[in-house]
Amino acid sequence: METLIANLSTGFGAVLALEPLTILGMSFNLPMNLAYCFIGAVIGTLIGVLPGLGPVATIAMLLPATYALPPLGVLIMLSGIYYGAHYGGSTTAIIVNLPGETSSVVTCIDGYQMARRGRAGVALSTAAIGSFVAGCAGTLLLAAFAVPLAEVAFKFGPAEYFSLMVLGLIGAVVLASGSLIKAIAMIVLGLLGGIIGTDVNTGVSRYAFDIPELADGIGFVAVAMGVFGFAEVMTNLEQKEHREVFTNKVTSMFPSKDDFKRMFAPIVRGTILGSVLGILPGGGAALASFGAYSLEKKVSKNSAEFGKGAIEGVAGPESANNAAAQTSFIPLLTLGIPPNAVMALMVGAMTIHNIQPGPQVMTSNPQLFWGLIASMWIGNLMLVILNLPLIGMWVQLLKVPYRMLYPAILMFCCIGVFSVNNNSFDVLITVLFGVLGIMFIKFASEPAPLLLGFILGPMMEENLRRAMLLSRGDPTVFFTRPLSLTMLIMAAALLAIIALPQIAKRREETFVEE
Amino acid sequence: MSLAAHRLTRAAAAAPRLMRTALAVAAGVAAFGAGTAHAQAYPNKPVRIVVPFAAGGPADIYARAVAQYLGDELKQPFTVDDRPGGGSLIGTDIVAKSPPDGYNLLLISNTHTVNETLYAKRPFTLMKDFAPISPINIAYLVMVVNPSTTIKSVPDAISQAKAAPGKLNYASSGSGTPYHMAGELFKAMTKVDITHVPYKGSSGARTDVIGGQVQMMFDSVSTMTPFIKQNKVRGIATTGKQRDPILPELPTVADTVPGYTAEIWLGLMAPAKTPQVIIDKLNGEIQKMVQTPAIRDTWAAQGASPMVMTQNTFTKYLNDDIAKWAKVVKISGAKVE
Repeated sequence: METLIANLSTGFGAVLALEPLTILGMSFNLPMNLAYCFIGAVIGTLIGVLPGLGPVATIAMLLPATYALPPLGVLIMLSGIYYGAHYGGSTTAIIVNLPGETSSVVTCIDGYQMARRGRAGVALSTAAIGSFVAGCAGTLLLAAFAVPLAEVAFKFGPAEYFSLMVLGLIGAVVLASGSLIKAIAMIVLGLLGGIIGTDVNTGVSRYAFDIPELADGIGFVAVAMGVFGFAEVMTNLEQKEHREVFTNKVTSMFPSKDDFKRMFAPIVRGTILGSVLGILPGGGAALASFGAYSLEKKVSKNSAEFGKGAIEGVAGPESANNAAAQTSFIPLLTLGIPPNAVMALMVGAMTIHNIQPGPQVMTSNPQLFWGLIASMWIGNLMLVILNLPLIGMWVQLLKVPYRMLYPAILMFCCIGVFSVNNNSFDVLITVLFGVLGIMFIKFASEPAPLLLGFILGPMMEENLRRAMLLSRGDPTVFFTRPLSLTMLIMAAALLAIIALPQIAKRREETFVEE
Repeated sequence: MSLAAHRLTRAAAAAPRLMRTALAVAAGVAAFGAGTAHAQAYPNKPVRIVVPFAAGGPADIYARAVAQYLGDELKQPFTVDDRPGGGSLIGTDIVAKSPPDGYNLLLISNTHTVNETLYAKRPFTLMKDFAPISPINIAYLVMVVNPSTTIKSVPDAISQAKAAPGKLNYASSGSGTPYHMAGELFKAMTKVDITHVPYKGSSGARTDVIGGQVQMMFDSVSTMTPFIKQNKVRGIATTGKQRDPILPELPTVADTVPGYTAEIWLGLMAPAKTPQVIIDKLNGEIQKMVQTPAIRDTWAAQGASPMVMTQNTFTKYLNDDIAKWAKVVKISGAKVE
């Protein structure tokens, strides 16, 4: 407990540290990290409010721009975008009945109904309170479990890592929304793309066709920006702009005593469920909010009211998605393994700054590690302050025409990709993946598993071969080491579950439902 | 104008074939700019130092120190351009194809001398396509083992490896890196069999030695010292000719294996045919820099010592180094296609 407090004070110290900044020849001492946190929260809310543009696309597009910033500032800002987007997403869901984010799809159901009944203000503050409570709880969990988990992580050898990644990839398939076959296809495609470049063990170059730019593989930033950024922006242009805005209905923000009583249990349940689902590979905020909604619908006394403006239907999912957003940092920061696409982008952000994510980050960069965690608390607080009074302003944003917004975004993307390696080849790769990304959207194939395959594939191969090298070619090593065996059994169990016909049918229903 | 021309050359060097034609015109302008530049004293426009390694690594950091010093002394900005990848081949090739006008320089390390034998196919030959300018500094490595092993000294390591050939493993930050070559040289000189386990970057390798997945590795003295002090790893020996000032309590590998040294050195080269006047000027400045007491002290704290050499001594040093690693690479059987 004492070390936890000491660690957190290191973190707060790092976030609040004053740094000199020169503006127009004048020098100021400013808490720059606090500023990055604020910028992240604002950008996050902004893109959360705008339907179509999500945190994955935004972070992908901002990656190259972060090159010039200090690593802690970058991570603080990017994570601010991530959890900020969930706050913003619920605003659009409640007021316009459009999910700003996939994670706020379910919030539309009861949130919008509440707004139509004149309770938009209450719905918004419920979402904010739920998110804040869950965000704090998730951050506390992250702080408490980071040290013990990182200790365990040092016991992880190549065999354990390999088995963990097998589990992760199978998890990504099972939990992906939409068609199972397509999810598998996307992962395999990602794996294939990931092995382009020089093989670590033998130095043989694979699929590089003697192009030196391909010798180190396809740049992750280029792929992520193409598949998410370019593709999302371009397909969004096809949609007709058609929005009905509900701002004049935002009247009383304060929930009544009865409202508080009704939201308490759903917030607690949502936080717990979200925290668990956030840690799981392939999970994350969207799954958490779906899960929490179905849970509330089942256990609530007022289940008849669901779909007609039940406050539980807002409190549960909103807490769950924010808790999951925080806890999904746990596997990234302790094991160096990204559980979802946003975390995969964080790996990219860390590698750009020459920080190899993994258990050693905590010891080698304690300020970075605890600073990031401390910033999440501050960020969550900022978001509550930012969101409630400024809702009117955010809604105005929905009136900026896409035809002006999107071309500007595309241009900045190109500049960004070029600046990572000062290489125009990367821009061509981005465009190529942008076209691929549009095809994926047309074929209704979710690109997130592709990105996970792309990141995890090379890591998995490296660890497989390293494990085999250390065991001198004996494959039983994966089954004789207890941790590794446990994870392989879990992976097999997941596969078995998904193969059961009833479950497969239920799965389709869950994702089709809302 | 010359700055703009300079930027265009940069773009031309990196551009894929499709764009080359379009940029040929720009390159012509750049060449014109370079031609007029010779008339005046060098340097009269910004100079680029290409670092073919990752940003933030030791090579990048020392290159920036050199760039800062040269910029202050020669009154022109020296910019560092990190072009990592392809085991340093990508960035190196960019300079090989740059005009030999003194405005494109290359930071090199023993990765380059090893690559001469390691890579069967290279787009350039180091001693033919480049002219040596000056070495910068040299740092030695430390041999560490996981504390749970019974290896307490270099003789222990040799006897355990001899007793059970192929049982021990050593980690490295990748094939062909100085850390890998330090291990291969150790194996070649002691005639023992220890399995090489390559990683992508040294932090993964370090984690696995601390975690006990791999028994030993060679790593830089400055990064490993905190882990040795915290007893996360056991320091066995350093790889210089004398004991290392940062870890004076450790013996040298050479105490047991006479003649063994393993190091990482950095230096500067320019495209072949760069005017000798410019090379001499740069050699003079860098040699002045590395012998400045303040710089010497800062580097000493980081485990690096200055290398004092004329251009001719450096040329001989490079040729010797290429020959030394060629032997080790051949014995180890390492090769990169």
